[in-house]
Formats: sequence, C-alpha cells, structure tokens
Amino acid sequence: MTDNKEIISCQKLTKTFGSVKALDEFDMTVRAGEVHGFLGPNGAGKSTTIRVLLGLLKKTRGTATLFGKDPWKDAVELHKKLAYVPGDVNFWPNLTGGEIIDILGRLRGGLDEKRRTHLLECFELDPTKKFRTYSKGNRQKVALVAALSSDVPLYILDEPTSGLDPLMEQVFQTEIQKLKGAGKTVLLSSHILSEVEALCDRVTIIRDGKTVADYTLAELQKEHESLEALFLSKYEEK
Amino acid sequence: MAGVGTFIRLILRRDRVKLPVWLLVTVLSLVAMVPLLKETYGDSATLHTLYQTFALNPAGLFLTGPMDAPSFGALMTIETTLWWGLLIAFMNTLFVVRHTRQNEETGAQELLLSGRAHRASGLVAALVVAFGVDVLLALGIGAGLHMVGAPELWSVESAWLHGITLGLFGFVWAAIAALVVQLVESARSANGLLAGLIGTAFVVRGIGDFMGSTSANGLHEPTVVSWLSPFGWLQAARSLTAPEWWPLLVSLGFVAVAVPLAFWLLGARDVGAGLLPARIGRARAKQWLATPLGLTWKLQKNIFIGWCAGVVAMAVIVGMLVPEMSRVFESSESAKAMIMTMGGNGALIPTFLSAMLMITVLMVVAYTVQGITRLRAEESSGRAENLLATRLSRFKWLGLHAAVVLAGGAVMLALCGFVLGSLVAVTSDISVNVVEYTLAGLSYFPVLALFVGLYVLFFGLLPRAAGLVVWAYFGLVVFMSWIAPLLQLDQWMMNLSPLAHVASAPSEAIRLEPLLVLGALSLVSVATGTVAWRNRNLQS
Repeated sequence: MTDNKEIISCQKLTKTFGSVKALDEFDMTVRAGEVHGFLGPNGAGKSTTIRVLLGLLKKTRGTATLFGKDPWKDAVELHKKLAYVPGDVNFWPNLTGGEIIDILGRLRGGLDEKRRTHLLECFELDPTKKFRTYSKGNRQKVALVAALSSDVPLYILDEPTSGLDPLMEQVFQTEIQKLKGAGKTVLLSSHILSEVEALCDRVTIIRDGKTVADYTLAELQKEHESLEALFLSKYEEK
Repeated sequence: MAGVGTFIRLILRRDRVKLPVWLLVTVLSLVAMVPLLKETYGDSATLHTLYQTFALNPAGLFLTGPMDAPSFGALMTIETTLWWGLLIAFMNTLFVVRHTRQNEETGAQELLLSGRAHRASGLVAALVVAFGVDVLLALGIGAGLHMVGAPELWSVESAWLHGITLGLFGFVWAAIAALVVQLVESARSANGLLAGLIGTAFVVRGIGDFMGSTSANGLHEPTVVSWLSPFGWLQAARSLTAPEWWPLLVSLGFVAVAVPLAFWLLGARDVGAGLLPARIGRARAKQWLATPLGLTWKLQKNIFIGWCAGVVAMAVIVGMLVPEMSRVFESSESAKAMIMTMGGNGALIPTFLSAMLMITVLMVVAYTVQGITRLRAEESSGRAENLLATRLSRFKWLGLHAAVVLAGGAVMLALCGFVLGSLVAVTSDISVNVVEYTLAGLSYFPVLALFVGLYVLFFGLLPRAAGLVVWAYFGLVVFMSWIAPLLQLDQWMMNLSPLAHVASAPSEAIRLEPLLVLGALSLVSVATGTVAWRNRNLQS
C-alpha cells in the first residue's frame, strides 16, 4: 500500500467557537501507508482538527475529508475504518480496564484476540483493575490497547504517550513500526520530538490554527539540522 | 490549621451563587408558607376538623408526622417540617460530598494539599462552611417565623427553637456526610449512599410514628424506633406546638461524636482512597456488556435499582396501611371529608390509593430525570466521545439511553400499581382488580415520556441548561401536586403540571386523549432535540 491515495485531507479548514478561531484555513494531507506527525504548541488546534475529522465537531468552512468522504455526514461509515485514542482519556470509573478494552473493541467491529493478549503483556497492564484506580499512564494504556488491538486501516492518536514511561514509549514505538510495516496509516499528534523523528514519514506543524510547516522527514533533514530546531523556530516566529 | 482559610475562600468562591440562592429559597419559601396556609386553614373550625382527621390517620402519621393540637403551629409542623428537613438534609450532604470526596476524585485535593495545607483542612473547611450556612438558616427561619407569627400563632420561643432545630438538623447531616465520604472512593457512591440513608431515616421515623400512641396529655408519642432517626430528633422538639429544648442535646451529642470520628477516619486513610477497598473486577467484558445496549444498561443500572427499591418499598408501606385506614374511614365522617378533598368522587379507598399512587409516580419521574440526565454527564466528561468515535451513531447512543430509562420507568410504574393492588387484595377485605391497578400505574407513562422529551429537546438545543431546566420543571410539578390542592391555585397554573391532565386511575377511568396529547408532545420534543443533537458540536 504505497500508492498516493489521500486518507485524510484538510483544505482551508476553519473552525470557530463564537468569536474564537480555533482553526484558520488549515491544510493537511495524510496519504495511505504514512505515519504522519502532527505537531504544535498547546492550544494550537491539534485536538480540534482531530475532532472535526471524527465528526465530533462541525467545521465552519473549508473541506475536511476522510477516505474521500465527509466525516460529519458519514461518521458511522468512516468510524468503521479507524481507531482513536483521545488526548484526555476518560472512561467509566466503575468498569475494569479489560472490560473497557472489550467494549471499545466490539463497538469498533471486533478486536484481534492475539493482539489484545500481546499488547496487555507488552504494556504490562493489569486488566482486572477498575478504571478509577489506574494512574495516568495506565489510563493511557487502556486507550492504546483498545485502539491498537483493532484491525483497521487508520489510527488517529492524540498525544498517546504523554503519560508513558521511557520503557513503555519503546513498546509504543515498536507497535507503531509494526502497523507501518502492515501498511496502516497513522495520524500521530505528539510533543515528543524523538518519537516523531523515529516514527514519522511526514510532519505537519500547526500554530494558532494555521499550517506553518509541512515536510517529509527527508526534506526536513536536508533543510534543518534537527526537528527540534525547526520546531522551536516555527513555534517562536511571529 | 494551615490552609483552612484558603479552602474556605475557595468553597465560597465556587458556590458564591449556589449557597445564597439555596439559603434564600429555603428560608423565604418556609416563611411564605405561613400566610398561605393561614388564609386557607387559619380559622379554628377548619383546624379542629383537620386535627380530628389527622389524629386518626395512619397514612398521615407516616408521611407528615402527628398533628399535636388543633392549632396553626401543629398544622405548620405537619405541612412543612419533614419536607424542609429533607431539603436541608440533601443540601448538607451534597455540599459536603462536593467539597471533599469529589475534590479528591478529580485530583484537585491532591494539588491543594501539596501546598501549605494540613491534610484535614479540606474537611474542616467544608464543615465550617456547611455549619455556617446552617447557622444562617437557623437565624433566618427563627427571625422569619418570629416576625410573621409571634405572638399570635406561636411564641417567640417556638419560632427560634424551630429555626435552631432545623439548623442543627443540617449539622447532623453534614456530620453524617463527613463520615460517609471517608468510606467510599467515588462522589457518586457517596451521594447514592447518603440519599439512601436520608430515605431510610425518613421511613424509620414514619414507622416510629405509625406504631406510636397518644399519651395522657393528648400528644402523640412515637415509639422508640423514631429515636434511631435524625428525623425523629427533629420532630421531638415539637417547636411550634409544645416546645422542648432537650432534644437538641441528642443532635448535638451525635455531632460531637460523629465529627471527631470522621477526622479520625480521615487520618487513617490515604488521600483519594476509601476505607472500603476497591474490588478487583473482571479481565474480560461479558458478552452482553460489550454491546451498545448492554453498556447503556450497565451505566443506567444502579440508578434504576436504587429507585426501583424505593418505589416498591413505598408501594408496600402504603398497601399495608390500607386495612388500618379502612377501619378509620368507616368510623369517621371527617376522614371521609378529607379524602374527598383529594379529588375523589366515590369510594374512599380507591380515591386514597389513587392519590398515593400519584405520589409514588413522582418518585418514578425523579428516577426518569436522574437517568436521562446521564446523557449530559457522559458528554461533558468526554466518555461519550470515545463511543461516538466508533461505529455507534449519535442517534443510537441517545436513543438507547432514552429507551433504557423509559423501559425502566415503565417497569417501575407497572410494579408500583401491581404491588399496591396485590397488597390491598391480600391484607384487606376490599376487593381489587390487580390488573386494573397495574394499568393505572402504567397510565402515567406519557408523563415520563414528556420529561424525557423536555430533556432531549434542551440537550439538543441548549445542552448546558438541560439538566437545570428539567429538574426545575420536576420541582414545579412536585410543588403543584403537594401544595396546589391546599392553596387552591388558578386552573391555568395547575395545568402546567402534566399530572393535572392524567386521570387519577384507578378511582377514575383512564382517559386516553390527554395521554395521547402528552405522548405526541414528547415525540415532537424528542425529534426536535435529536435533530439538533445530530447537528451540534460535542461540548464539554
């Protein structure tokens, strides 16, 4: 799956909340088989973009498509092809991690039992604990295991590793490499630059709701000495 | 103690609207009852009739407590004391949970305690503010009753004792809440447990009154069972009839033991943890749970079970009172007169049962509202987002919650009619048709549908206001059912309550037309609300 089919496409995407412009003519294209890094300072509009792409928020102007379709109109149809890890992981406090993984898996059309077992083991997650008793990192793992045990073409991950320890970060990177090997598409919003450099084929940087940079990793390595240097220059420039 | 001042300022800032509004509404509404009741029942002939009726009425004993004398003070006591007591109990417990366990659950407490604050300062601050509000409440009620009623209706001493008794009743429930929040980990469990305790305390006092007897001096003496309940302590002061100060000592003694105990328990546990350990659960979801319907049921189950137990208990109690009551009715003309004012036209027992059925139905409506308002809780917490990013559609998500809540409500309605009818059939020699009673219960279903409709309408259009609107409307309907017959309000005001349009079966024949109108109204609201929901952003 190395064709250039566009899986996600945002063109001049604008989203306003009252008088606040969260997205301002934002552009981004994610192609099939790509692991696409999505960077930007806090509050730049990453989660808003993702929520528009999931049909949870209604765009104000511009176009946003998933698999060539409108996520607002065809939400349920499109959701069959994706798995999502939200930035704020919040589930039902009285259900166990294992139960939540199964529920989300089934609602996504079934989960891969082998992968479920494998992921629980790698991430060292105890599925018998009630969600309210998990730490931040373990809550994140519940959402990750649920998403990664689904066999779908597209994974949308909103800062999925923000609570993980370095060892678990390694496990996460290995799993994403596997997905990449299997030709899956991943949209990865992240603040961890080393993770983005290790995993991504392409990055989009957003600031104040606008696209400020869009590079392949190869271009990036040519033009800038490191992602960090680019990142800081783009974040700071006025 | 370090940090208490900061915590108190934080609480006052967070509840700067809620607390004054609550305080004003509670005090003013109670004081306003005086002229309202006086206008309708103020003359001594009416008071004497009421007294003779109530002195013999076991259902009245159970629900409102005894009427001690043919005086206005006694009337005021049975019409207001326990109901305002319930209001005060709920306010105090919800307040204490909100500022202690809920803070711990969200993690805010952890952050605050990492500053210069003693670990007990949160509980100290919550109790200081709760007690402070209760003191203001006592002063407000005391001063209010003094101004409108003393010395014509009751003595100055009575007015102030009544205020102080109600204020101290608030202390008692704040102290109970302080204990309960040490035991369980989640604010929801704490609130559920406390609501159960309040309900139990109310019923225990009812049983005490019911089994009591009239003493030589003409006062009704409840049995010792009433002393197990704070509501029993509240009544024992007889503030507006034969004032006694010593029952205050019982409440004070309880607070003096419970509060230190709460602090001791707090000192014995970790922040965020409960004393009852969290249990380990299943590693896998059961088959049924991992379906949209199964998950919805799981989320609604506890609300349903709690209310269902309450509704059935209420139906059982009312049903068991019936044989006793039928004896009273046979011997008393004034009892017949009273029951006629409840809206009956013929047989006494069915009329009475219809009235009781309606009260039980209000409990089912409360369940419906609590169940359906979970929609917003799921959305604002972000939990709905996880589900709506799967192949579960918005339409189905909302529809399943509405369907589960309504199905639960229908089960409860049928049960309360069935239980009531069966008990009357078994315990008394009155012949009843159980099917008729079950149908009578079910005839209130369109009222539940109307409440769901109203909520869904606002959930779609103005999600942040939806809960407030539907609870306020529920409050209005309860107010109408309980107070309106006393105050003889204008018909147009009465018509605001859907219950005014539903025939009070089984004493009246079920009328289909109003039920269809209510059903149609709710369908339109649900449809409008659903379309709006489909077309709006998710909002936290």
